[in-house]
Amino acid sequence: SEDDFSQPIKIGSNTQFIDGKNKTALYKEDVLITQGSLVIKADEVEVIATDGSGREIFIARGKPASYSQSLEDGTPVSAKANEIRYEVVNRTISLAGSAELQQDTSKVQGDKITFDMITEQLLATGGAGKNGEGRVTTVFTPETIRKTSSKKDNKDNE
Amino acid sequence: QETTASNSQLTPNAAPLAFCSVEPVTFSSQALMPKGHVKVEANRTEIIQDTVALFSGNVDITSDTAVISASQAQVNGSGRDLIAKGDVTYQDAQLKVESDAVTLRSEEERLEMQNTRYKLTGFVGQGAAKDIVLDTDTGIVLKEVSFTTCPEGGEDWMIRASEISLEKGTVWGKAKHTRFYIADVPVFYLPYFAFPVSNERQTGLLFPELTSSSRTGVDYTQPFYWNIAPNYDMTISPRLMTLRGVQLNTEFRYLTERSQGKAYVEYLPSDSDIAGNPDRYFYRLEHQGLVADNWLLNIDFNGLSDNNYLVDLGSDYYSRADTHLYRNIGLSYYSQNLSVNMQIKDFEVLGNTADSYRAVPEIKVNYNRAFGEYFEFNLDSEVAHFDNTLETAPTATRFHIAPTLAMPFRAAWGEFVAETSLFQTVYQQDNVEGTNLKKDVERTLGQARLYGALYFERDTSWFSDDMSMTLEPKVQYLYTSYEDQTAIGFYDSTPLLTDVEGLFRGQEFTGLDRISDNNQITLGATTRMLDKNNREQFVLSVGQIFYLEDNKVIAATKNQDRSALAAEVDWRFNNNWFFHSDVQVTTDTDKVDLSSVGIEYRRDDARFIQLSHRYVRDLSGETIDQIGISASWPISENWQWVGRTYRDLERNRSVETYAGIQYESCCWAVRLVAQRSLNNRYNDSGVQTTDDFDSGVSLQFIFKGIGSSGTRRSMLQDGMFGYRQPYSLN
Amino acid sequence: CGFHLRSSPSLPDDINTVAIESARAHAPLARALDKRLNVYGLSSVSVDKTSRSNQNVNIYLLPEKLERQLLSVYPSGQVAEYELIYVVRYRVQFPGKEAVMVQFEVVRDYQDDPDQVLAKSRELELMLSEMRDEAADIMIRRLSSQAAAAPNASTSVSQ
Repeated sequence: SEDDFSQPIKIGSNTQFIDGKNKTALYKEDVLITQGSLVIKADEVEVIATDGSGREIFIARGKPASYSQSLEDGTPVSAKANEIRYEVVNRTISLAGSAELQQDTSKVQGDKITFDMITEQLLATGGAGKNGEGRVTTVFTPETIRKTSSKKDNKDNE
Repeated sequence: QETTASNSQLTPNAAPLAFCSVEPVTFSSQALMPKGHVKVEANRTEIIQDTVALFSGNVDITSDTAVISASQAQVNGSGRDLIAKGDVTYQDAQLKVESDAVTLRSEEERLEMQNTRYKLTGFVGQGAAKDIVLDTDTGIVLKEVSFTTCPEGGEDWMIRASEISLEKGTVWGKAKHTRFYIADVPVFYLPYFAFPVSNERQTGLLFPELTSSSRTGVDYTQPFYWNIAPNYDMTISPRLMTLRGVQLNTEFRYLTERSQGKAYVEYLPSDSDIAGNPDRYFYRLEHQGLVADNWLLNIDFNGLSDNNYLVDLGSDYYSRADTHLYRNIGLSYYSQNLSVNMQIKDFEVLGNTADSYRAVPEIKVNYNRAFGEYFEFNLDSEVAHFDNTLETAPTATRFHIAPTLAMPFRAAWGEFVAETSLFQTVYQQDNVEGTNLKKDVERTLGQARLYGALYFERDTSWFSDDMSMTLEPKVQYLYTSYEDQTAIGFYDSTPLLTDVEGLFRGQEFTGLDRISDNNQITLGATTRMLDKNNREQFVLSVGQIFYLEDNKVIAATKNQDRSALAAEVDWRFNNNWFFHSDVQVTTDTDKVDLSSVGIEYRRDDARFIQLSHRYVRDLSGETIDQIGISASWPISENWQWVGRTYRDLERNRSVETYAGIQYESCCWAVRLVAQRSLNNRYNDSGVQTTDDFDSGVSLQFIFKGIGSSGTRRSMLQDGMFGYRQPYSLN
Repeated sequence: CGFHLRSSPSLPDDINTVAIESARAHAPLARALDKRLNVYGLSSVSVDKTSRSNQNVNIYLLPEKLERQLLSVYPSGQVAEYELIYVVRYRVQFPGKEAVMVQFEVVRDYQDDPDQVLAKSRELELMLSEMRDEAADIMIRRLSSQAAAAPNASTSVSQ
């Protein structure tokens, strides 16, 4: 949610290399980043803060690296991929390499997924592999239907 | 004897769609998603605020009931509503559809497809439709639709309709404003037309049948199938006959966990082909069921309006040569040692045979159990009341009890039985005035039977195949005491046909009203050639009874000291040639009492030639001397002919001549049949004409492939001599 | 001339009981089969669903059919002689083997007489019970060859 971004970012890891001059840092082994409801777990996270605080870019790699956060209306979003790139300033997340993003209860799997947390807009591409391994798979489950109809109701009576 | 014709399947219709190269569409439900889930695969997916999702790049959508593929699709309400565009293919358990666009509203559970080409799943049935709507409560509705069972490209016939609906749960399609096209020529129009769309539970033909014959004129039957509940259904078939009028045939079937049955009524109001336009009907009730754990109820009850019903209108259950219909109700009890059978046996006899007896009721009780190490005790007992359709004929109540003590010895190499029985019968007869029957008669007879059989075998070769040959000599001595039975009427007794199997029966009459005295020895032998699968390739049986004393009960008929020599042979030369013969010869005068010879060349059920001759010197006053040839052969892949003629040599005339030719393609067949047969219609006084013939040409047009797997009655079963009726066993 | 007394049909020795099940309750053919089985030194157990063990031969009888075919007619066109065709269909399964479907017919000639309808129906009952005994003998005689010819059950199918 919006107030996540005003929270401090905490980063924990076994080892870390800080390059003060060009303001990049590399955290390795069981890296954990939290900012409010945002949680990123990965084997290795590279933080690029060259444009100053509040405009950092986190690149997390793992087999897979995982991300989770709860959106404006409290619905949880979680994702995993070989590489997760989180840009704080424009609130976008892009996943690459057997990416999977779970939103409400619709789950999207594909090669590359980018997700804009403000507009809650997701774009997934399959990389057009030959025998479909590059395909994007989306699964809608019954709870979504029940949930969204309630969301639709409270939208109507807002 | 045992016939092991290569394929004893009765109706030799070739595999239903053998002529179609097209395989029907199949659908496996494993590919579906669990209830309520929708999976979408695409090259590119965009989801906006978890409400609208856009998919592009060979999109595959799998729901819990169907699989859809398209070039692009839009899902909103996260899986609730879906629109797919760009050569969309939709497939579910009922049909596969190619169309331009598919829209699905899952809340109203309604799916719509535009300008489609569709194929039904499970069997060949396809066509095009401007608009298809699938709705969970109404089922499938196709608008501006064409339908045929012919394969794509080979549409020899086609139905075009403004609307076809396949109702949910029924196996039935209903079409409105239907035009029939044969090779693109509109043939006729039907405001309303219904046809079966799946062959789940139908038996018999539910498909319209169009024939013409000299007895009915053009004959069109249009069945309607109503699936009342999973275990009840009804088929209503109006039958239009230009010569007679409209007949309504209704069949109601039921199946419960402990019983099953069928009620069937045919009703033809005011038959316009008969003077006075009488109403005509046929009804049948068939039931078999457990009323309690060991109690079985059986009903086989039939009736019809007049003697000529079967000849004029035909029936699935009785042949036109039949003489009577059953009206039986039976309740039986079975347990290990005791069985009770209560029956009401009544008959509807055709023709003027006014005085026919019926058993109302007949109760049989049989008790059987081992008795010590070597003995077996058997008690047959019976109570029966006989009355007659003719009031003045004698009626009787009969009590009978027959304890038997037997000492059977059975082993694989032989069988010996020593048996003594007592027959104690008491009659109370009425209407006996003016006859030599007495009111109360009591009869006590004793019987002793010694039977022995040995089974020898050896390996041998027979026409260069190695076989096991058996030799089974049998001998029986039978003694039955004598008592004058002329005071007893004939209720359920008549002389038994003594063929080879009957020689050792030790019983000359059916029923119990006559038990003949015996002092005789029966000799017999059977030899078989068994192949390595223990199947008979050759069986010869011979037997004769030698009377040690003239018997007194039926003194008139038997004045020789021995019975006719009975012999029977069955021979299968190889897989194609069969020979059968049985003969009974009176050895003193060498006169043949009965002989039948049959030789057959059979390749398969559609290809055979059979030659047969039957001779019976005296069968209730008539001599039967009849020769017959019956053949069926395919001319080409699609053309098949069937021919048969049976000739009565005694009166030098043909009894039935039948010739049929059939063209059969993948989805339709046409059959031309010419037949001339003895017309055994009854005149008003119930007597059958004996030299009146009935000939006719009938054209039959059959739509194939939908619902029924081939024609209801193949040419082999058609006509007099081809017809096999089912018995209902009880 | 080489003839010797017939030995009992060579059934695999571990089989001595035959379990008879039928589609219709109390099928008369099942009783006829049961009666004839002990002629061959085989004991039979009529089984309900629960007690089917894989030690014995399982015979499942499908409903029997009796059909008739016209053979000859009187001058009036009424039937004089019929051929009675008793159709037997059953599944037989030997221990460790696949079930095999079998069908054969027993055929007998039968003369009809419209004036003796009741008596003729009793003759039909008598012939039917004789045909059932003959069918039972044929079924037993074929058991040995069927045992050898039946394909082995795929190992996954445990009986």
